[in-house]
Amino acid sequence: MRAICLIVVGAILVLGIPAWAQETVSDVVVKGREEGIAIAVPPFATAPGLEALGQKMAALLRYDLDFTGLFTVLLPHQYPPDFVGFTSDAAQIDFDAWRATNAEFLVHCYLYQEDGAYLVDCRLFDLYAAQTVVGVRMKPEAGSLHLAGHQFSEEIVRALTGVPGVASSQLCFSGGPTGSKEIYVSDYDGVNLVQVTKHNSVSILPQFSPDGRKIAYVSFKDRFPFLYILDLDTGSSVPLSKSVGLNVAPAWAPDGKRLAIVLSKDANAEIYLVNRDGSNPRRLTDNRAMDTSPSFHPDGSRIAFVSERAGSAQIYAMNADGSGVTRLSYQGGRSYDPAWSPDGRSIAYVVERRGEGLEIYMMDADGKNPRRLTASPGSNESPSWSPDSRHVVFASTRTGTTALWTVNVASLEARRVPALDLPCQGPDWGPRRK
Amino acid sequence: MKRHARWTLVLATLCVAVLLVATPGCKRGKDATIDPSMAGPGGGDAGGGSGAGSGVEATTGTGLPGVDVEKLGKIERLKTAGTIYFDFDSSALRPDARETLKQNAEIMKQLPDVIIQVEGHCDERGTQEYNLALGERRALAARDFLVKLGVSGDRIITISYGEEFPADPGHDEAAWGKNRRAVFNKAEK
Repeated sequence: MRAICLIVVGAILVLGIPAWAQETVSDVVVKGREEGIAIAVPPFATAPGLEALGQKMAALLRYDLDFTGLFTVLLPHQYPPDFVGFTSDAAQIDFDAWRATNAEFLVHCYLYQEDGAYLVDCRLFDLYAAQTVVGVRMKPEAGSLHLAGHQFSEEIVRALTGVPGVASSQLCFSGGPTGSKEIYVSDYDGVNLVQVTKHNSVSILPQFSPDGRKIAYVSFKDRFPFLYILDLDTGSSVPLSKSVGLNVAPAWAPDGKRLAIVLSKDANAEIYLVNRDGSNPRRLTDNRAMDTSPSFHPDGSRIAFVSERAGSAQIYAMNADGSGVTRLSYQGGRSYDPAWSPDGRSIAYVVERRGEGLEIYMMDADGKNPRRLTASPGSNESPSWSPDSRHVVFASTRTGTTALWTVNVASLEARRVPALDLPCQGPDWGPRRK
Repeated sequence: MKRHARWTLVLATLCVAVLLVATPGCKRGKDATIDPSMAGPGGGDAGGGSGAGSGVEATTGTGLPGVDVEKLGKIERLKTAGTIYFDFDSSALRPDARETLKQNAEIMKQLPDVIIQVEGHCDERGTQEYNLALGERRALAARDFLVKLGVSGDRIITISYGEEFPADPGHDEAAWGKNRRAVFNKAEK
C-alpha cells in the first residue's frame, strides 16, 4: 500500500513565505477566504487522451487546498483572459499574465504515461519571487494516482505554511442502517470508499492504529459486544477482548503496542490497559461510577476519559497508570467522547445541554478555554482530529441522516465529507499515508 | 426485623423452588421462539458449542460471574419476563420497573438451570459510545435488584446494545421512552 515515490526534480526553494506561516498552527487565525494565500491550479497539461484525468486531478488539488482554509483558490474566470491551457513545458508559462491575476502561487503539472504507468511532473511557482518552490516527479503505483495528487497538495501546504496538509489521510467509520453496520475506510474527502468488514452484524467505533494499518473496533458479530483488531493489509480480524459484559471504546496508545479499552466484568464500566494481543489487562480506574471513552495524549503519558464519578458524565484526565486524575470539563451539561489532538494542545469533546442537543466543543488540554465548534440542530458526536490538529471530523444528524462532517477549528467552517452515500457514524481520522 | 423475616421467607421459597425444579432430566420450557436470523438482541444461536463443562464460576466480589459467554448455547427471549423502562439518561429503577422486576425474579427462580441475560438499551440521544456504557449500567441496575430479590448473581450476565437496536425507530419521546429499556433472556449453559 505504500503508494508512490516522490522524486525531487528541482531545487526546492522556499521563498517569500509570510512570517505568520512559520508560526504554530493554533496561532493562525483565518478570518476569511479573501485573506488566504492566493493560488491557481489550472487543469494539468497532459499527453493526448488524458485530458479528462488532468481536469480531475487539478480539481482534486483545488479541493485539498480549499479544504485547509488557508488558501484562496482561483476560479477559472479569474485566470488570464488569453489562457487556454498549459503545455507540458513550464518554461512557456506567461508569468506576467498570471501575476496580473493577483495569484501569489501557481501550480503547473504535466500528466503522461510511460510503459503503462502514470507520471506526473508538478511544480509550485512563487509568482512574485519568480521561483520554483516545490518541484516533484511522481510515479504512482497502479491505482494510486489520486493519492499522489493528495500527497503533492500536502507538499504545497507544507511549503507555504510550515505544516503539511492532511489530504493523504483516511477516515474509518461505521456505515449502514440501524441494526446493520459495517466498518468502512475512505479517503479524507469521502472518495475510494471500501467496506473492510463483512460481519453481517453491528460493527462500530473503529479506531485506526497509529500507523493506520490496523483498526480496532467493537462488533456484535459473535453475539456480544467484543473488541476486534482488523489488519488492513491481510483483511484478517482477530479478537482483542471477549470478557463477559462490555468490551468497548478502544483507544490505541501512541506506540501502537497497547490499547485502553472499557470492560464491565467488574459489574461497572472501567478502563483497562491491554497489550495489542489482548494480554496483560491492567485496570486503570476503580470507583463505583461509570468510566469510559479513553483517548491518549500523543506522548502516551495521559489519558482523557469520561467518568460519572461527580454525578454526571464529565471529561477527566489521568496518567497512563491510572494515577493523577483531574477533572477537565465544567460546561454545565454532560460531556462525552474526548479526543486528544495530535499536537497535544487541545481536547475535542461533546457537550449536551438540555434542549440544545449534542455539540462539538474543544478546550485546552488543561481544561481551560472551552469553546463550541458546532451550532446546529440535531446531534454532533464522535469527534476525531486531523493529523495536523487543524480540523475535527464528527458525525452529525443536522441534515436528517447521520453523515460525516468536518470543522476547521480556527475558522469554524463546517463542511460535509462529500461522496459518502450511506449513513455514517463514529469516524476516526487516520494518519497521513506514505 | 420485618425486612429480615421477608428475606428468610424469600430464601426458603427459593430453596423449595430449587428442590422442585432442579431435578435431573428436568426439561426447559420451550415457550419462547426467536427468529434466529435476527442479528440483534435476544436472537441468534450462532454460538454453537454444546456448553458442556462451561460452568458458572463463583462471582468474586461484585463482579459479573466468570461465564465464558462464547460457550453459552442458545440465547432466547424470556418471554414471560416483562420489559422494564427507564427515564432519560438514567439507570435508576422506577417504581413500575421494580414491580416488574419482582415478578421477573419469581419467574427466574423457576428456571434455576439457565443463565439469565439482561439486555440494556438506550434511546438515540447521548453519544453512540456513551450509550453502550449507559445501556450496561441499566442492565447492571436490573441485575443488582434481581440479586437482592434472591436470584443468584452467579447466573445473571449483562449485555448492552447501546442505541444500536431501538424497539421503535421513531425520533420522538414516544419512541425514546420505548427504547430506554432492559429486557430479559435465558441462555443455555
